[in-house]
Amino acid sequence: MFKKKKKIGHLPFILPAIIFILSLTLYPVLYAFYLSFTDASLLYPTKSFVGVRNYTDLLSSPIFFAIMQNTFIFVFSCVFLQFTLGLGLALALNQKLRGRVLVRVLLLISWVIPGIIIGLIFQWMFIGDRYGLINYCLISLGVKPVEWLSHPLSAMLSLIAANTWRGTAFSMIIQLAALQTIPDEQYEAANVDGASSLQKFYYITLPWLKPTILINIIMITLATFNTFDLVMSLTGGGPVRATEVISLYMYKEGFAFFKLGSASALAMIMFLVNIVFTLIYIRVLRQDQEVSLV
Amino acid sequence: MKARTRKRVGDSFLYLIYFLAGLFAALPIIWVVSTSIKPRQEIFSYPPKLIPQSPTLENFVYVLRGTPLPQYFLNSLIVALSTTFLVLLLASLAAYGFSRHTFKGKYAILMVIIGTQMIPGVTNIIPLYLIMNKLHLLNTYLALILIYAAINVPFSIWLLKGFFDSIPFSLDESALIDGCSRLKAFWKVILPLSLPGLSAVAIFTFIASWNEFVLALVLISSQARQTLPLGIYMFSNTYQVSYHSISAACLIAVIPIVALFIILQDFFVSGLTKGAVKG
Repeated sequence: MFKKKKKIGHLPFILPAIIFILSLTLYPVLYAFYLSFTDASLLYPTKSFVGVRNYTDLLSSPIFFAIMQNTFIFVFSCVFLQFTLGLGLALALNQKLRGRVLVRVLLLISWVIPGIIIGLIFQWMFIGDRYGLINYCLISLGVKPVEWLSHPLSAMLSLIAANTWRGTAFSMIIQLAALQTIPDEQYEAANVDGASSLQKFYYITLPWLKPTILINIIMITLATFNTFDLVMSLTGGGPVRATEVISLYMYKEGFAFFKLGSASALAMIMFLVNIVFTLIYIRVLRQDQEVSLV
Repeated sequence: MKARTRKRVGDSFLYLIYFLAGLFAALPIIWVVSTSIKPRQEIFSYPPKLIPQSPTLENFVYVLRGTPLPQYFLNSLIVALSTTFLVLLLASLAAYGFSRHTFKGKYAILMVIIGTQMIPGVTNIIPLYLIMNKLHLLNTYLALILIYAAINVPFSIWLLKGFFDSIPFSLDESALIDGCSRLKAFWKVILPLSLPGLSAVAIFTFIASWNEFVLALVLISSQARQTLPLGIYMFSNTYQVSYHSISAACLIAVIPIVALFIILQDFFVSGLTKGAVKG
């Protein structure tokens, strides 16, 4: 009797969560997939099947490639900066010095602030005239102030700076946690053998961190690739689309130009990128944590 | 002696890094705090001062009395608290099911759940808008609560399953033998032992729902239902509001989560690193 109870026991526990995930996460993905093959619009209720036209239209439009280029520059720069800064800070904060807890808390605060607010804060820091904090610093150093948000390149730089400020803490905390799992004996043994700090870093720290580094990079790549709020509030994609990334493009196609079919095709392209990275992520994770998952 | 000198030099270098890191982290925040307590006439004084000459709370009074900010705050609170409650309920039950039962396809289902954790909310805005439109749930708290819950459940299941797995199975088995139902064993034995995990789930879900922007932007157009990030965005975009009011509004929006984070940071850190770090 006990056995039987156990056998049917799991369904009522897991079913509610599964229903939520199916209906509000997986079903919408399928729905968007379907919409991406239609000419659905917010302006009229009927839609018809148009095959892959939304995709071919996108792939043949110069705007799409400009947007992809913006997205790539944004993601690549942010991931590079966040990761290297994060790892560097983690190494510094792994030393048992006073004040490290304070620095860690200060850094992590940026991670809980809504992106929309970070965008507004940086807008006010980068504002074009001499009242902005950044321009004031430039003037003090004898450099000419820059209209940061009015030029394509400097607007992109501002965006990268803001997002790096937002995301560095995440890489820092993940690398720090990984550093703390390295057994001290490893370093003690290396000390006995007379290894230099650089050798210890290269032969002990890096190999030990490798799986975490990989997962860290995948996670921040996806987080940056999917960023919407910060871009929307800092630059809104401007000036003239110079900082418009794919998520903003998709939003505008759908809700400013009402082209739901085309926007869904963009969503699918974003989704594909996410899937590819997620598969790599799961693969790394499975090698790493096979036991705890089953 | 030489080693000690070298250590001292190394420590000074580290302290320099600590200082720069702290400055990097704190400067934007100091700038906002400073702006928010500047009187109107001081905002465009040059050179800009980090410490205002005559600090004032007038900007806070203005955004609390003269704008719908209190309404946004209330909306955010309702949505974030309801979502947190719903996620705790759904995820803890599911995690218990996954932890204590073996059934066919369990591994595959878990993998799908971990996978859905990686589906970003932003790629689903169009279908979710259409679904909520059809259900007549646009401009409701419920739309946001249901969707935020669905987004946060996968990660929470995964996190809690890890906690439940570490509780000896014999504990709830013996409760079952003593005549408890599965649900009661879960409630009386497992949950009280998993408070750190539940707290991590709660704080993560709360912060995620408090900060979410794009879905709120798409699903909520009536001002009476807008959450803080959406409300502040609209407020900064629609009216020609000055930066000192925006700064005050931003601070009011982030103070609760920053406080929550500082109080509960250990849970936060353990949740954040879970899944990325072995051990």
